[in-house]
Amino acid sequence: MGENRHIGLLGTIVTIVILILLILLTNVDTSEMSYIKSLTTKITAPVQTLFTNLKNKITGNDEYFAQMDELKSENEELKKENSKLQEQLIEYDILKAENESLIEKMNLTEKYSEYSTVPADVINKDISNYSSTLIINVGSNDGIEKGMTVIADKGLVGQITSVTEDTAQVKVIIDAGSTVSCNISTTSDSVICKGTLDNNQQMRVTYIPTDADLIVGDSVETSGVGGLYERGIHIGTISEIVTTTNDTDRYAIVDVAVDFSKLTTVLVITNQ
Amino acid sequence: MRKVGNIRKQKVSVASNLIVSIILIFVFILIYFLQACVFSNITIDGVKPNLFVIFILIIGLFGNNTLSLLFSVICGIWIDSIYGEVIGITPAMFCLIGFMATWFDSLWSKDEKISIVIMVIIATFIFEFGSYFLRSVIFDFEMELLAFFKILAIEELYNVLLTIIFFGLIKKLGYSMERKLKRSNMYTVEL
Repeated sequence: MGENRHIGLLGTIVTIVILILLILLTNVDTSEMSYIKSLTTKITAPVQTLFTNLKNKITGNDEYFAQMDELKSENEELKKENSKLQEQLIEYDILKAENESLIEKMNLTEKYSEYSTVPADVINKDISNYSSTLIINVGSNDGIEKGMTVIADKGLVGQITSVTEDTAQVKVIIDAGSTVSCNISTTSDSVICKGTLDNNQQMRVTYIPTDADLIVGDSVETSGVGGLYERGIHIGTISEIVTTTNDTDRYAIVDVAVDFSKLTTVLVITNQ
Repeated sequence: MRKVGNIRKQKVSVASNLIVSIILIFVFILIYFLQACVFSNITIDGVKPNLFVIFILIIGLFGNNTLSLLFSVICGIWIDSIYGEVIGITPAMFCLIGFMATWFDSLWSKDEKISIVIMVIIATFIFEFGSYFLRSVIFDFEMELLAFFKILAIEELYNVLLTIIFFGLIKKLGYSMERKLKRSNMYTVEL
């Protein structure tokens, strides 16, 4: 009798616990229980997927495969369309580059309108680390001759050293063997600018008159002395003045205006 | 009968030399475009390697004097005609490298990576210093030795790295060229 009472009490307690749990679970926001959901999904999803696939295979779910075929053909079409668009994009890029090059040439020609010039593209650069030459795509057929001055948007580039029918070689001013007779624009002092191995964007100013008053930032341009280059073409600006105990030995460093590493378009002055 | 055999052997010898030369011409063209288009843009601190020095050195090491001289002159004139202000410095320096390679061959083993690396270092130094010195004499400019050696050190490093990377290929091509030329020499000796 007493045993039955105990079983009844236990049943009651279990029922109450189940009820409380049910109440709690039904009143709690499901989003707060996502970890449980995630856990259950993790357990059940693979089994469910397996069974669904199995069912599809058994029942021959044609719709799925029909959709697959449709998607495949659609994908093929999209791929073709994509390749066409890519081709168009490449064509556009080429046209854009050509246009930019033509604009650059036109601007250059306008800028140096006092000279008779021939525009050219740089097609090759020196392979050596110790010399600086450029190959441009104009030659004797375009009226180019040895000794002509070559300029770019920002200033002097160099001089033509050899010519073939369709190409010409340019000795660049930064070449270690290059020498340019120059003027300091503010003081009109005559100096000599030499190419250097030290830096591809700098020249060394030597033979500075002892009474010359150089200042960092002074502009340097060609003097025309010697007849190698036209007069008044910008070369660069003085970035450093190195003084020595002997005034005759002092020199300066010029940052050349033209960026030779990115040079693509030049003008050859033909009416020297 | 013997005369006919000799003529055939002579033909084989000429054909072998011709095949080797044609292959080398193609290799030179490939190296030229690699140097001009690829390695001009892939630089170490703005310094490019010199693939031509390695090429001429390999011909001198694995080929013979005639082939080395021929390619030194042809390649040198080609490079000078495109980039040089005077024609002659590069072929002269290439010839020197070619002859040095023959001398290296008698001194060191060309199977060892380290010996090839040392040869490349010496050849690059001789070529670049010689060319720079000759240019400074011809065009009468002052040599900037400190700046020159700074660039040369990087160029040497680049050349050595390329030699180490392509050592297997260099050895394979070199020995196949050597075998072909030896066979043709055998026929020539019999003549």
